[in-house]
Amino acid sequence: MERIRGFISNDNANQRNYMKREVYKVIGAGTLLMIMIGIATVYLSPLVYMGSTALKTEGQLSDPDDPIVPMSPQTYHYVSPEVETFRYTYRHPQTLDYQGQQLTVYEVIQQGKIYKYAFLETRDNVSVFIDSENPEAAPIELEIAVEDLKPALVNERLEVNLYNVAYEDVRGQFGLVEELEGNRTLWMNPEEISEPPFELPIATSDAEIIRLEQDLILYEVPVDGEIRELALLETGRRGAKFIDPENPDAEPLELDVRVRGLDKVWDLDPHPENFTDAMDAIDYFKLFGNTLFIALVSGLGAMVSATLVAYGFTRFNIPYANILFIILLSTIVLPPQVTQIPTYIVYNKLGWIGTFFPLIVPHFFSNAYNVFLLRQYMMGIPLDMDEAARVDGANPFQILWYVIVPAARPALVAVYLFHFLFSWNDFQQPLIYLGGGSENSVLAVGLANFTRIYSSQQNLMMAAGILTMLVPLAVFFFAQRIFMQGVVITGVEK
Amino acid sequence: MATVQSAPTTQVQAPAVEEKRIKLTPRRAQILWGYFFLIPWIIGFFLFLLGPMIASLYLSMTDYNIQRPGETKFIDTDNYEKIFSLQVIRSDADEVTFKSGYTEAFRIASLHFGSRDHEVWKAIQVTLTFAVISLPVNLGLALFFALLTNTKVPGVRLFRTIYYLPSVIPSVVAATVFQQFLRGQDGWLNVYLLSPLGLGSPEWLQEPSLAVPALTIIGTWGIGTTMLMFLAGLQNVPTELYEASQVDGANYWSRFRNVTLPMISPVILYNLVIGLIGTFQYFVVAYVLTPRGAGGNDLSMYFYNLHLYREAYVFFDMGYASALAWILFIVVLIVTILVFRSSSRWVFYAGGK
Repeated sequence: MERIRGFISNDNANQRNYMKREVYKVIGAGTLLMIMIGIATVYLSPLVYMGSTALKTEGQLSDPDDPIVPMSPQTYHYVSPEVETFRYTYRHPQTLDYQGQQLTVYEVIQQGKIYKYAFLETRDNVSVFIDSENPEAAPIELEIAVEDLKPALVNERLEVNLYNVAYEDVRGQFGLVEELEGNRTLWMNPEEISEPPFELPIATSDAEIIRLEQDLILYEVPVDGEIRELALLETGRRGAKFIDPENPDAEPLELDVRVRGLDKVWDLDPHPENFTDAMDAIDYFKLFGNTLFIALVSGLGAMVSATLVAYGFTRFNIPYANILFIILLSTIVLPPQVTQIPTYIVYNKLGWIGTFFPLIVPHFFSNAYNVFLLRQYMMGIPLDMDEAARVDGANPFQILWYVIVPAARPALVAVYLFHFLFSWNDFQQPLIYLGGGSENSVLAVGLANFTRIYSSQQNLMMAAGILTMLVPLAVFFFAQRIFMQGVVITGVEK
Repeated sequence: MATVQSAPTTQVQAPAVEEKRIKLTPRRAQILWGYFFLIPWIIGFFLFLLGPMIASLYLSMTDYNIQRPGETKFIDTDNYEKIFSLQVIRSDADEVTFKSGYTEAFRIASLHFGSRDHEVWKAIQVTLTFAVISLPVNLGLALFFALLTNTKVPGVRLFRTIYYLPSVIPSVVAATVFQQFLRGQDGWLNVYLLSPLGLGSPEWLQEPSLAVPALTIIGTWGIGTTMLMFLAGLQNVPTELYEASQVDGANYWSRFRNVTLPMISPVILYNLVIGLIGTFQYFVVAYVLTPRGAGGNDLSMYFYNLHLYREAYVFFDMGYASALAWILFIVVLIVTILVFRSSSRWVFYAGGK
């Protein structure tokens, strides 16, 4: 109407006013929307936190740059041109290269001193030696049998290259000590360095040399005005060395950048196994079954008893109904703690502590909230329907079953769902009646225990939390309308 | 309401037994049927309410301990005296000696207050502080959310759902999440909201002075129900009233003050009472956040109900716990009555009640 009038009349001021109002409306709606989105973001962030944490490993969580989505830094598997080596002290008999001959060196004790002489030959019971420290000097003749001498050992410090060796049943990573003649090689085992080296009838080329391999973290590095994904090899005092994964054989790039200021290259890396771990840790299926059983059965009790009582209050003109109803409502004010202690003592006498009875039985005797909700709803059901049924000869039970229950179905469902949720989320009652241990308890108590015991494992805690609230959330999403209306029925009329 | 004149044929269907013994008039039968359907509540009322209440009142005057029921003595009002026992000493010294059985409960400047149960005073202080801070915050925020979602912005129903959603999440789960969400170094609240705004990284759950604010923050996650109540109240405000005030040239703020607030004041009253009752019984989050309800650093999260729980089910001192429960009941009752009394001054019933 406004719009039409504005355009029909040629009144400029009117039109301007109209435009102004329209613009304000759009701006106002936009601002409101922004505020609402902001609040929604804040409100949902704990849930986002749960979801993301439950899918991460502890390692991911401890990374200070950890992003919200479960991701791990992408790595590049770098095989360097350098080979892997092992520092090895090779202890072997000393030899001397003397005029093309390999002579064995012996320890000769003379005048309290140890000399290292290489044995040359035996001449007429006299052994001829060459001084290994001074081979140019004249040979020394001594009247000692070579058999009585100890060969001199030498410690040779080697950096042996490691190879993958596979020869018959000798397999593993071994260090190449020496290449011998005739395609034979001498090897050592880095895991048993005290053992003497062993010979294999293979050539060096038969074994595969082990090159230095490592997983390098990829960074987004600005190089000459463009961002490139480079793998960090090492951080130096000024700048850092990077490997370009597209060209790994090139020399490492030395760049003058601060590594801490760089972004890593992230890769999606969720860990759903946290959920199964959490399930095992809290005996999930048993607790789930317990919780579900209690919620279903006590919900039935709550719904049936509240229906009967609400029916009694609304459909029979009983004296003192108002006073009784006020008494019923005023019980809302009574803290359950007052009645809890004597009932606990009675349950204890009955042997009910540690069983589900205290969590189920009382709900078969109606409660104020449910009766209130159902009474409000039943008062809205027209009386003519039960009048008609009565004329047809129906008794009050039949009227309840065939008239009231079908008509009040939404409210009944609401009561059932509310109670189901209340029971599922209840913590204090199961804690008191089933004890603080989690063996035969419900999910809420199990989760609280879990939280206390595994407080350092955030990921498992959050996974357990999600597993606990799965059912309430599902119920809410499937019965959203019933829920949000049910809340309002209880509230409005008061 | 169904009335007497409704069909004499009714009694035919009344139970045969009753019919034989006394000749039931239709009116009588109806009354009997009515009470018959109230039976679950009447039994429940005596079995789970009135009976236990009387038993609890009696227990509160004994030193009943469920582990030593044989040694129970009637000790008159001693439990109540223990709760309210207070000895005041004026001294500048850090340590003062109280009567035997008394320990220091709290200290105001040079006044030292000693009590036979010093924890109960701490618990009362924590509970009241929480009520004073958390209730107005929750009600205000819920009303704000209701006002926001009572507009005609696209997608408003989705936002209602989102704001209500956390209310269906179990309190234990909420406590578990916020235990991490509020952490000082890597909690998301600090990392993504407070630090970027330059507000530092407070240790919400460790610092005693931040305990109540932290619990208030956690509490605001569950205001969905309160919000929906307000929303229903707002939707019940007749639009003619707004139109009339618009004609009078009232701006948004004065419309809110003079039309909206009075019209939804009954809902405010309802939410206030329900909120008060809930706050005085606050338990789950504090229990989960302070392992086994120990109360946290400096007992900064030691709520009255936590104290009651520990006395009753950890130390099994059920006589004393009953006295604590009765004090809680009386306080809730008095506060509720006071709120209802004051309500005649600020609650406006459109029906003219």
